[in-house]
Amino acid sequence: MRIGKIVSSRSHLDYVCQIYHPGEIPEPPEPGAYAFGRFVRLAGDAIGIVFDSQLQNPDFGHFGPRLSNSPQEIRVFTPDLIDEQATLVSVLLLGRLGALHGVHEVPGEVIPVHSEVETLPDEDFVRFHRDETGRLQLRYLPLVQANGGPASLSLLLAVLDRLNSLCPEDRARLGVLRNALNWQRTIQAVK
Amino acid sequence: MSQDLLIGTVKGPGESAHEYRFITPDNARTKVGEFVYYPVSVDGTERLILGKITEKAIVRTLPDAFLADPHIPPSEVAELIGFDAATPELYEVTVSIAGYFDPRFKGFVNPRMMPDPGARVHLASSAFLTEVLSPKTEGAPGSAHLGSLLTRAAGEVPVVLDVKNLVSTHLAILASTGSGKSYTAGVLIEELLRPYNRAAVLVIDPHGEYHTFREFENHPAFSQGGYRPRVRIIPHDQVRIRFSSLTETDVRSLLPMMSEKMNAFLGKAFDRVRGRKGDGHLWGLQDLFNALDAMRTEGAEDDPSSNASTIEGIRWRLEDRFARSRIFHDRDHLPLPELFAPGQVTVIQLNEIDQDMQQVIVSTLLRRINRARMDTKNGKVHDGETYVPYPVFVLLEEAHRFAPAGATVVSTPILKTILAEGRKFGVGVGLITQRPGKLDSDVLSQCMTQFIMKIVNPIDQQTIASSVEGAGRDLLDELPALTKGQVVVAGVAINTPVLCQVRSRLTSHGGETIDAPQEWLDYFGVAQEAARVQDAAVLRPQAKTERFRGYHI
Repeated sequence: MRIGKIVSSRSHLDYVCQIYHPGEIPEPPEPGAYAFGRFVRLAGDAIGIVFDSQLQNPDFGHFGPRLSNSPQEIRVFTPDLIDEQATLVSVLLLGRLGALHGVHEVPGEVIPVHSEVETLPDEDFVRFHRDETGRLQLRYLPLVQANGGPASLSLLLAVLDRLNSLCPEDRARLGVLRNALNWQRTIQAVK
Repeated sequence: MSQDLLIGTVKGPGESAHEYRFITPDNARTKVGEFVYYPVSVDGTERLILGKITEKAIVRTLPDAFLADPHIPPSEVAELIGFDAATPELYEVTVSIAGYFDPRFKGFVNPRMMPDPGARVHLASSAFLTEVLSPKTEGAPGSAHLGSLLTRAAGEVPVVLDVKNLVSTHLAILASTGSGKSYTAGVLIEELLRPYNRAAVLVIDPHGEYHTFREFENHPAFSQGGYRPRVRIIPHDQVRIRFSSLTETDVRSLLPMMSEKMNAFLGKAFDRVRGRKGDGHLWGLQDLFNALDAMRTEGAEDDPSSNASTIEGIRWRLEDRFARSRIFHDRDHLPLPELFAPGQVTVIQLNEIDQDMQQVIVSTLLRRINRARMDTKNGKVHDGETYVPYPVFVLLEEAHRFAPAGATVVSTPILKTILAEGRKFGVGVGLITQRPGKLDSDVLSQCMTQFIMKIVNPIDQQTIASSVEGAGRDLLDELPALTKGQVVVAGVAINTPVLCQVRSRLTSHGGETIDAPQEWLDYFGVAQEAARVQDAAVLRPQAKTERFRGYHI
């Protein structure tokens, strides 16, 4: 499912995706499709994770009298006027998805502006977390910890929980890692 | 482990001037006590500077949290997040430098050239260690094969001592009970009696646990050509000490509660008997009594009874102690040529003999052998009982009884004399003790080869640290962790201190701990119970025969 397009970037790893609003595409995404921790595919095979979000609203703070109609009326009666309100999400690039397995590395190529961003289905999510031998991998973990912002541990825990439900055979290993990260997020944070 | 193995990279110097540190991922082969080397050019010649691993610390490892589930190896968790190196851990290893082996000196020379950071460190091959650690090769004349290097497979690097230095500059076997000290002593005696040594050995055995040496005589490993070792076991009831070989101090030490006056009379009597008989001549208890009797009225002619009570007191004590003793005798004693002969081990069993008596026996024997060797070496005697024309070695079990710390007993002075001067006259002493802390530290410090086994007691460890020159800090740290049969060998009989696994005895060991539970169970065995019933049975008098028509029925 398409959820938006790349509109800018903050670094080679950190891209900004503007979410499609109703009217822009036939089936605009539900809020759950671009929620915190969702995996997305960009520009073909690049894989990223939604780790931040921001709402743009230029009208906010304009308290003067309006000559124009309300935004709802404008959207109906004059749709050619630009709607300046937007939902932006930050996507952290984690690697790319090959035909059979995922490659967790910093991608070499730059993602072009206006590249389509779409959600990653569960089977591709699992495939991305398998290496060439079929074993589970989370090699992007240090990258996320370093670049995922203040909520990086929560982000990783969300990923681990999803993997835990999709890869029951790896629960033991995931459990050790989850406990370690959970300790960092909770106990170490209050020390 | 026949090839030299590249094992690490030098990080830099250690805490002291003879230490360096290297980094390695190899945990298995960097055991404490293991030998490594780095090559360095000394005067244009490449030398391999050997050193011993003394400490190891982990400097990089996986987070503790990865160790949370014992069912999941931490490496698997690390692999999950992309760390797939075979060995995530890194170790910092401290090495104490011994130096390079110089065949001219038959020892190690430390060129005092520290390795550069980044220099390569190799694990020394077993062949290399076999060549340089031991001063002798196995089976060579003057060698004693004690066992093999503990850090290598059994028998891979034999530890072979130099018997010449071992017996002439004295040795000490220090170990707590049950760690194998008498077993180690047994191995050493075996080696001394092998065809390539044929030593003259005397063992003072206060526990009667060296009787198994008899097996030497018929064991094929001990015979060669016409040589076969002789073993003489002297049980405690056959120990004889000639009275005239006792000194005044010996006698006084055995007499209870002697007053000053008594001591004065005794001393005077000794002087007179010696003056009359001459030193080295036979005299007996009766001669001492005669000398004492002659002093009854001396200086008190007016009052003949003035000294009588004192003299009587001495006489009573002497009679009580010596006249009824089967050990002290006017003529009989243990002749030195029968005690000592090349290719012979003599075991004097002192069990069931009081400790103060044991001290006198040992003191007398040591004094006699020391005097005999001095006279023989100086050409004063050429035959007879005091002619001992070969070096001798005396092994003393429970040595702390004969030279205790903080006290001087009758055997202390002669033991100190032999330890200080015995090397010149060919009298070697081996001391065995389970309580180094109770042994006189001067005595211990004179033993130039040390066999140190498991010792946990901190006082004993401290004594070793202060008295044994070869015992370094690293070596002492090892002592509590040693297990049965593992020994630290240091001193002049080996090129550098080593951790050694003592080899198996060729003959059986007589000092096994009593198996109390088994003996208790045996008590209830059918045969033993029947025997006790028999022993406890009331003896019924035999019925008298009856006479019937002239016949006994």
